Amino acid sequence: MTTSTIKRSAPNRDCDLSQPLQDLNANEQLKQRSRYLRGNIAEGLKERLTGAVPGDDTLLMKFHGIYQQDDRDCRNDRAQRMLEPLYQFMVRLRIPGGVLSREQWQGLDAISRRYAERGLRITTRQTLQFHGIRKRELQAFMCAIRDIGLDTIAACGDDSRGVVCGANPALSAIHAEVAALARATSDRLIPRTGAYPEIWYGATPQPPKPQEDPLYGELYLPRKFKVGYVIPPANDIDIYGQDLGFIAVVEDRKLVGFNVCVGGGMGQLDTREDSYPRLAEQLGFIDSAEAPAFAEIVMGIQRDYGDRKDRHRARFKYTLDRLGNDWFLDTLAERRGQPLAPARAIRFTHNGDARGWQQGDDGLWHTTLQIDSGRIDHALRDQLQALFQQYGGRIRLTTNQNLQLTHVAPEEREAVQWRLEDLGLAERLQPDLQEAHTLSCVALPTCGLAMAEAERYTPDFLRVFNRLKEQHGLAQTPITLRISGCPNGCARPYLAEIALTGRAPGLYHLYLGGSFHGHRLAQLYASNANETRIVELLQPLFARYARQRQPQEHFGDFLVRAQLLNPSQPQAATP
Amino acid sequence: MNMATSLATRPLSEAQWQALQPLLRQLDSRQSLWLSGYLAARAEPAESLPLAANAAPPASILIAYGSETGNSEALAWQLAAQATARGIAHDIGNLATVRLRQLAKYQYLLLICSTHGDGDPPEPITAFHTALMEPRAARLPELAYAVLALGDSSYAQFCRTGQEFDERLAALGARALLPRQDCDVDYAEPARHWMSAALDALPQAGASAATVVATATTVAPVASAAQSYSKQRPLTVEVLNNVRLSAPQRRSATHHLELALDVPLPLQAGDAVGVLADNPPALVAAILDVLQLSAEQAVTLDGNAMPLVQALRQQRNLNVCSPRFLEAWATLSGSEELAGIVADSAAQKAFLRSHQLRDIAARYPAHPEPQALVDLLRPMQPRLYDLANSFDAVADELHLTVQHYRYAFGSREESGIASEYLVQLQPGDSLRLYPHRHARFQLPEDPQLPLILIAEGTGIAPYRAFIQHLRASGQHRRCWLLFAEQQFEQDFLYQRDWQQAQADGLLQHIDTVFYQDEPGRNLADLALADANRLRQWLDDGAHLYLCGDTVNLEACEQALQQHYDAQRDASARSWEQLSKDKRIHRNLY
Repeated sequence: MTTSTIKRSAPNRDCDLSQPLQDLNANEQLKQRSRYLRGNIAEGLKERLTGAVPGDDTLLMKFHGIYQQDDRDCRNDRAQRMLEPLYQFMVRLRIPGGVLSREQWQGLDAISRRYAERGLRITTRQTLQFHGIRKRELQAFMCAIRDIGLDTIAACGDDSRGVVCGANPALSAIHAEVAALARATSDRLIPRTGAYPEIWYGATPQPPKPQEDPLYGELYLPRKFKVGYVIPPANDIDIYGQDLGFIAVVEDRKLVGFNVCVGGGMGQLDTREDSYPRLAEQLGFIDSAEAPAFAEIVMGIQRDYGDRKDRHRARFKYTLDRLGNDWFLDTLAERRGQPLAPARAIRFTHNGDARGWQQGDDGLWHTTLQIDSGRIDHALRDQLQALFQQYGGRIRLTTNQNLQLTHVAPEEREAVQWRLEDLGLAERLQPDLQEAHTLSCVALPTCGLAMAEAERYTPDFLRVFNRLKEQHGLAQTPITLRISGCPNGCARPYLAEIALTGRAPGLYHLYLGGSFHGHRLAQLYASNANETRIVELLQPLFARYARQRQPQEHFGDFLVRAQLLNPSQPQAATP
Repeated sequence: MNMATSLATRPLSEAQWQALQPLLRQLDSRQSLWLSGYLAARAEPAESLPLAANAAPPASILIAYGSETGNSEALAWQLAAQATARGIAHDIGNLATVRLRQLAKYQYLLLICSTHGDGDPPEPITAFHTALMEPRAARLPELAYAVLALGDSSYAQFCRTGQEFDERLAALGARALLPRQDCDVDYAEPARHWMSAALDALPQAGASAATVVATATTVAPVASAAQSYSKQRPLTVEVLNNVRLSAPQRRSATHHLELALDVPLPLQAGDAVGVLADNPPALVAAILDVLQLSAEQAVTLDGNAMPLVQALRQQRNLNVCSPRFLEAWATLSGSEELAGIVADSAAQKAFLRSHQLRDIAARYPAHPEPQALVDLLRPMQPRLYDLANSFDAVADELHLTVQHYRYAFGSREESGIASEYLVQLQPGDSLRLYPHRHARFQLPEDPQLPLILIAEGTGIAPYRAFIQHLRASGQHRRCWLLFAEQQFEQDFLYQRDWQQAQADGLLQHIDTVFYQDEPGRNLADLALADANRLRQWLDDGAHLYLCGDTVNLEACEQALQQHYDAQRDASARSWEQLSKDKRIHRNLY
């Protein structure tokens, strides 16, 4: 058989949008009925009998970047008091690449004080979210966000989520080029529906146009779709956790293009065997200028072939596993007009943020402020507000939930350092090594999915964890640690060397053996363990690691080499 | 889906299938589940169906569920459907709303309950679980039960809640119909077996018996020989529950009281009870102390002998004194200063406004005889509280809505005697009360007439009774509720009841104003925001109710009256005429 005669059999399409609407998941029918994400949101906002948005509209509001939540700490008390739950909204911004101006920060600070509870929170996808917004203030909040040049479109929902972009301050020009591509990609992939300005800005409602959202159609995507850009050697954004990842290939200090990887994703259900975290696979290389259009093509494939019957199997990773890489590459080549070129050599060394001041090749300075769990509240919020009253650089959020001061001119650097010290912020430039390698999601009390504490528990767990490391002389050895309140993986637990995912109050699944730079999945090591048990389990492993590790060997790599994990082979990406 | 295949496997004619489609499309998931269970059980061999001839008298059976994610609830509805198909009459109840004492009314309990996380009960049923586990929970010797426990064996405390229910019910004297069935995440098959076994174990009733879906309703107590209770002959009732409705930080808290009612009272929605409060024990002790009197000394009141302490505790007002008391006290104490005050009527009035019994006794020491003291003091007056429930809906309980009344008295803060007494009651405490009719605050007899219900704060209580009555009696009046309180998030009294009433079509409109959220807005603004509706409804014969704080509601009525009279057609009746027609009902305090 010659190559030209190979004709692949048609892909099985019994669960995608080619099927009759009534056979698809209820969410698909809801989207179809929603008149391009309008639903009855505008009417629900006016309903004064409840602090919630009635009916199914909460699902549609996610596409607008808004999650309805309630304060779970007081849920029982309020039920006794015959009151509805304390409904409130989490609103997530769209900040492609995480870049903000000083003025935008000042605006966000004021908005957080006026409308939100618990300050601002930097997310693991390089954006900010606000908690505790009340329904009656939601529209005013959204207008205030607009007034500082930001929006929340597609920050949640079945669409292209905020596009993340890694950092490489040493290669300033390349960093700028990649960041611009990330922004262009986000702008290209967001929904176009007029619902957003109508509902939130009070624009005059228009009857929906037939092709109001040409990229998406009435059904949008089967599930969320995450795109990320990264610039080696830092894998700060965890490229293997993205649905679509672009890995910058730099030759002679010039950006020549991107290796592309597809099908990463963290979420899983503990109750389903066919639900699992998956690393993105690197499949080829493209020219840099093509990236935004390429992202649109890949998203279009997932739109057309993703599972729309079973939402737990709807992420792109399952589409790829169901239909196969060969099918994907063929379909991609067909839509793109040419096959992918082979991937180039790249190398990652770590997935944390750089510490201390770094100078770019354009002479400008950059540094990272460590923010525990990304939470900016109380004194820290005031300190940052004071800092940014006078600041000539830019601000960048990181997927490790930190805040970077970037593009600081050489003549300003000393003054910035002095101000950081004066404000008590300087210690955040040289954070505790372990804190800098720890992530946690929000979890209780606002996240409806959380089964255990995460953000609120992290400081306590870190104390125990650091004591344990000290006992074994490991205090100066960073280990990536991630704590998530449920198995869905907002803190990207399955890419960490050690991860806890919540099962019940005080109980966690313990995952071990991810790699320090995020190219290998951690494995389930123990189920439903409490803190005492977790310490008991880590104790002997730390002891062996301390005695038997090779120079520079990270904990996760050691566990794999020493075969201390489950006998099954670890799954690793192939960079 | 391949159409040819599905047609071949469908044993229905095309006509039958087409006829089914419109109905099936209307069903929500719970209805679909019920129907599937009903049809499945109906299709079972005929011999398993009981014969009407040997039908036992209908037993009272409750199918109850505790659900976090909906699995237990779905199974309960399946079970209910199968029971219906077998002709077994039953109630179905969510443990989130079932009360423990309701269990005693049933002979059989089929309980389906999941465990949440590692050993916790599903969040919505926490209250029921806690009540059942309490050491003083009532025994259930007449009850037979079966438990289906759902869980996830990946947790150490697998099916813990079901096990707890099983063990606790047995410990309370209930009899297990069949062994508990624990199920893992693949529960369908064991659940099916358990349901079948549980239904087999029940007395099989006549095939014609109908399902009674009554999640929280109870049977009215049988009217006993007419016994009339009064202020003099109060009824003593037990406190079942005392829930603070307002936020913990609010100084003048609002509470919801549930009282056990084991005898019928001749009351209906709109009526009240008179509560006989006790004085605070500390105040009684302080008075005895300052007067150097012994608690046990006998006194006689209205011909009844009792110890002094009881008279002071229950029968006499220990705060406000009368001019007669002051005159007598001037003599008893021999104080010239007090005699001077008594002699000047203006000074006496001012003095009584700023001095209570203990102030007077401390400032002008005297040592009256116990009998003389109780004869001088004013009798304790009962306080009226509106019923917050309708006996049509909850027959064996009295619900009251009580706001803790606090007021400044000189430099100190005083509490209203009755409200303080009520908000401090604990479950198990007893309380004396008697029925009080509000003849002018009743629902109109004509069931077509619309209702406009205006309340501030606890004034909402009788409307809760109204709505319960409308629901229970199947009346479909137009109803418009207007309510004022302090804060939407903390003070929306009975919010869930109103939401349910609106969802069920019992309340067409609910308008609220919360003073702290929207300063400057008031109840009249709320009603006049839709002045056309107000006029239209009144033209249609609506009855308008005002309940709550006298000052604010009188102001509200005045504003409505002005607006209404200014706008009305010459032919329409004036506000005053409406009032004369007994269409404006006031219950102000």
